[in-house]
Amino acid sequence: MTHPSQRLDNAVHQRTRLGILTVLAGATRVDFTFLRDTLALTDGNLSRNVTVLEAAGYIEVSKVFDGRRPRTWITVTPAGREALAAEVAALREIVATVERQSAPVLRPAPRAGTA
Amino acid sequence: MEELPSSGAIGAVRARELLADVSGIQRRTRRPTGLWPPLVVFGVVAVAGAPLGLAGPLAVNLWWIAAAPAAFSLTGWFFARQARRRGFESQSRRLPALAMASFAVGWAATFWLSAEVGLRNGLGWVLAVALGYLVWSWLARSVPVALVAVSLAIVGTVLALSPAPAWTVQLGVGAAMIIGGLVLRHGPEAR
Repeated sequence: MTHPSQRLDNAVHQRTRLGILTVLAGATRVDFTFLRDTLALTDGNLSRNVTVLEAAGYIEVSKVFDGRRPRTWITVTPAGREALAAEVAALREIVATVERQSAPVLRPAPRAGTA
Repeated sequence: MEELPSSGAIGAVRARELLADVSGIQRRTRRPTGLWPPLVVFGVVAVAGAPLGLAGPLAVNLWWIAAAPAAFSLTGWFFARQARRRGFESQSRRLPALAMASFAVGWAATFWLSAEVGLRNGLGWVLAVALGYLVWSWLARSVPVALVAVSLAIVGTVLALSPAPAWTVQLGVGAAMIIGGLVLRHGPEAR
């Protein structure tokens, strides 16, 4: 049986990208600016991480004009939702595994008078 | 680029931090915001329909049957516009479902309370709307929304129990809803 950490996906297992997918998973589509402000990122940082997730097929990016204002909308794909769910499950399993391993083993107390 | 967590205690600490991040982001982004439109829209409907109370309860009920679908549509349009402006569009059914449930419960309560207990028309409706907003305030973790809900319940109860004519209850509650909605719109809930 493999350790749960072996199931972590490199494209998702990074704080920023995990955050991006988490925001997107609760929405139909999210604006680039909203993501940047919510996750307190710079344009460049968000852009780099969006590119990684897009290349992995986890999100789709569409640029549209809202009136005269250009907007970048980002949507999570079904594969992205699955990857997020798998990542969260693996993280929970890591925590559970370590908690099981570090739980104190209960041994019967030695009886008085026995050597 | 961050490394994969190692197995063991350090991996678990890192995993816990990431899980806490995920929970925090979910709480922040999925919290309902901008709860003012239904208050203003339904407040306007209530105020506009209040003079019909002079013609009797049938006229008021017909007014609500005609105006409620339009009010729900307008509220839905407001929410969609807010979501587009905010940059976070979701298909959450929680708010519309809660709004329609409050309305339906209020409607039923109005008829039942006035027929069975002899309570004045409109009180059940006001209390149901206030209760709906209390639930919203809990979902939104918003004290201002809770205060508006409580104020609405107080204003509605005082008016309904006063000797004032029935149509003034609807007028007063409608005005309280509009004021509450505008307070949320321009106050701490403005987004």
